[in-house]
Amino acid sequence: MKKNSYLKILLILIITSIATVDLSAQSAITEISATTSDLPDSETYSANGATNSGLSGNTYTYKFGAASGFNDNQLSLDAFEADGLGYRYEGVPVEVFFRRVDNGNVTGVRDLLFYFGEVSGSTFKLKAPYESNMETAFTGNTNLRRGSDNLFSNGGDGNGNNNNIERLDVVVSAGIELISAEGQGYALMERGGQNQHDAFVTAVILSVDGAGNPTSYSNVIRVGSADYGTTNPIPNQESVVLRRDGTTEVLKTSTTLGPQGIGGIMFKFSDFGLTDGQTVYGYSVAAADFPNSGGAADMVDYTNTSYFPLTTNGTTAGQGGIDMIALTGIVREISISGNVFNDISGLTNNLVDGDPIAAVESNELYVNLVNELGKVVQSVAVAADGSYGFDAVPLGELKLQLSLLEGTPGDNAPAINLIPEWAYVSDKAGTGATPQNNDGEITIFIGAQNVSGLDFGIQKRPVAETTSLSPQQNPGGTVFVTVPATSFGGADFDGGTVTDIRIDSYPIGAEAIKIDGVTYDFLSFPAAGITIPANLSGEPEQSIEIDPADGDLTVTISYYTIDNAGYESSLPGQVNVPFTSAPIIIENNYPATGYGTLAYEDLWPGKGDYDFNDMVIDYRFVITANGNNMIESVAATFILKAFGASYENGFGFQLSEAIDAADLTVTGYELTEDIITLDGNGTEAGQSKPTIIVFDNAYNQMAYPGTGIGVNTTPEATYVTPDTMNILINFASNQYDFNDLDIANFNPFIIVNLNREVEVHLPDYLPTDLADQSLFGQWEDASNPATAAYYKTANNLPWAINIYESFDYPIEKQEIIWAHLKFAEWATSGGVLFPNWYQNISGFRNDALIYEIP
Amino acid sequence: MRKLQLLLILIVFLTASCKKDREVPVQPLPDSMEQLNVPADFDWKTTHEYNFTFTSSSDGIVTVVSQNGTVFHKAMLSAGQELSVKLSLPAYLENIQVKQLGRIVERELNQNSIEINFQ
Repeated sequence: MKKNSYLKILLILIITSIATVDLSAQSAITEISATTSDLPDSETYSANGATNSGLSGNTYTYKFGAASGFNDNQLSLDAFEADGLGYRYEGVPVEVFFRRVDNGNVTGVRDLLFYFGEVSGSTFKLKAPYESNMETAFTGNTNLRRGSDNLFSNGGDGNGNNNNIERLDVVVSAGIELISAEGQGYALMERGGQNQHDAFVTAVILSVDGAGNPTSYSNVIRVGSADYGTTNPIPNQESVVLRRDGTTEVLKTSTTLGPQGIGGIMFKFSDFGLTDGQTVYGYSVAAADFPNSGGAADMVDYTNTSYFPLTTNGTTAGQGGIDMIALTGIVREISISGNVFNDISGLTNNLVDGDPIAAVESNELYVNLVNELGKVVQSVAVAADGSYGFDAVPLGELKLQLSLLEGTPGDNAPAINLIPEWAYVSDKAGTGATPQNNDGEITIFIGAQNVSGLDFGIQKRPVAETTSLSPQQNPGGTVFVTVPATSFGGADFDGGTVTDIRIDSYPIGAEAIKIDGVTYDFLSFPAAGITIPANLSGEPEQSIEIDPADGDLTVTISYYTIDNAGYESSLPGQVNVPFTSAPIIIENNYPATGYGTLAYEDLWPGKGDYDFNDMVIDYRFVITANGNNMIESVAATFILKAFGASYENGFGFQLSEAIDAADLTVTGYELTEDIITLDGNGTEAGQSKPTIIVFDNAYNQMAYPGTGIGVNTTPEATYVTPDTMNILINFASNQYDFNDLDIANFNPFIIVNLNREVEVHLPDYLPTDLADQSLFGQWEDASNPATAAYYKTANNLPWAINIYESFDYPIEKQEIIWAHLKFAEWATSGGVLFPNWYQNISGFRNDALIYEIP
Repeated sequence: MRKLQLLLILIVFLTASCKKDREVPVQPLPDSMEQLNVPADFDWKTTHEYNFTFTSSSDGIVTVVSQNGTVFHKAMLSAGQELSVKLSLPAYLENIQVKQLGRIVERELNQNSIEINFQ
């Protein structure tokens, strides 16, 4: 043969091999979870050994089930683990068919079974209840205590343990639509020593005819001894092979066997290339001498001796010696699932409930599945509807940990944590769970069933507020001071409510604290603190009083709020109660926002030029009162900013008639002309109301720069630094309150050109007793003392204005309405429009007409 | 002189014509203060006066503040004792807050008498 002919043959062989290659993605079963039980079924009989066996000449006593004396005669498979994942039987009904073709050794029906048990002399104690029919014994997950010996052997066993079975069909005639080809499949188990298990082939049935006969198959998987893995998940035990020919006899022993274990293999439907949504009808198993060239189509006709030889040997490796455990059915991965709730009630209702939650303050929640070694098996993010699940999990003890940290499979489990403002409140599922150990971890044991309802409850803790009270005078000695309930406060979230507060420690700075009438000192205050019922706002519903230590100090009460789920705020709140040993002083400012401005025209009673800069004075009062709200002093600051006048004008003000000038002491005035007569207390003499003259000649307060009119109104003239004057008015103690002072209605006026009798006041403010009454009504003045109308023209124009904030005045000869563009609308609207006309707002000013400080 | 009067009339006419075309017609503003048509009862004040009445179940300083934090008035308020205070506030101020012992009450400044009760 030529060299290229060899190559062609080799290539053909390779292609053929590829075309018929059997998939081999199955997994060895490494762990079995099974339940033993003590069935009452009992059968005892005496019979010889099986015909043509080495034991045929002996008589034996056969004891089955309860008669065996064993109380573990039923061993039902609950679940098993393969490739690290657990599987359980789905409970899908199956039919079992042993497809037989008579051969030279066996015709008709032969039941060839083995039973685990004990051989004691001529007595066989066989654990499983008596069942002689192979189909019945193999239907479903009945009992791992028995199986079939040399299932596909047609000959070769010297004790007659041969049969005529060519194929085993486990049929689901209704079909199964695969939900998860990766997670569904079937298992096959075999009796044998480790590394000595028998080979076979298997394929998934893709269609059946009306009688349940398979009509098409998936790819074929070929299994060898090595595929069982290196460990038998069920240890060695003795067994006896029993045989029955025909259907009327009893099972008779043909062989006794030494200890052998059980190994197994798991086949996922995806191992056969099947996918989700496909429908399967069960699976078939055949002898390992099904030729390598055989494919899916060749599995259909079990009578075709090309693929199902009638000479399969039960003792030759790689043929028909499989000793299959009587176990059939469809399995599926074991899954676990649960939900995460925003459980605002915690376990107070003994439920894990609430609104679903998937994230905490935008931080995604994860459930980490952790094994007994503390390693992460899987990690999933909680879904938006609060649910989570693991489709396939290992058997045994597992922990589910809810955390903001995502675990990495194979790594150590990350910390179980939430942000401090949140708490685990109701993970009560799992092993050993109690309301006290809500810690974000659920321990479970995975056996035969899916596990659901592994729910976590978390919730946001309440908050506690911190409040500082106004200073109060320390009463000294042993005197209790009530801490207002409103000093405390808090809130809960998402519909939860605050129900209590807990004062967690003894208050700092207190000699004693009295709660609901019970007095505690430092030594008697409970170490665990004191819990007090509170309303929804976190205000205690029992009285709280403190006896402060003497002196200047602050008593600090630390407390936590507690919500309706019983959880405390993550941080304490504080109530700070300051005490002062000195008398309380209260200061008020007028104007409150800063300096106000008084602006005058000085030609009264003749009309002026309405630039309101003949005298411009900023002012502010600081009013000091004691803890009884009685005035102690008034400190007035006046800043003479400008005077666009040739007159030498003075300035003073009058206080309310409610105040007796004799109760005042005034200092700080600056009088340079001999036109003012003062009483001894610094108020002006001859006045029925307290009158204070601040200065009597502006030209002596600010030097004329030599050019322009007056000072600081002509832009071209040199700027002169304004003059600040501080007047201090001390009041007789505890005589007058804020309303008596009525500082907002103080009555400022200018004295015109050193003539004490000529005063100019704000509109409708009264002249002082020293004003010349005869000037009223002269020139443009329309004052009428009879109607209390003063210092206004006939069309209600003033000679002075009082502005609440510091006023940027017009330059010389520029009317205020030209400089302050909203003044006119303010005035004509009666003050309704543009009440802030004087503020520096875009569109409110013509800056070119306003004096600019260089 | 007569020509000057005609010129002024023309200027007034033209000015009025221009204003007529504006989107937001306003009352023509006078050229001088003396032309202002000021309501006879206008008091020329840049403040409004309010009568506040405070009561509380607890002793503590009551504070009247604006929303930007300006403190307009402080006074000691004694439990169970009414405190009346006359306050002049900037006319542009539309609302205030009144605080005592951590409690805050907000009020619109739309009436002259304002009562605040801290219970």
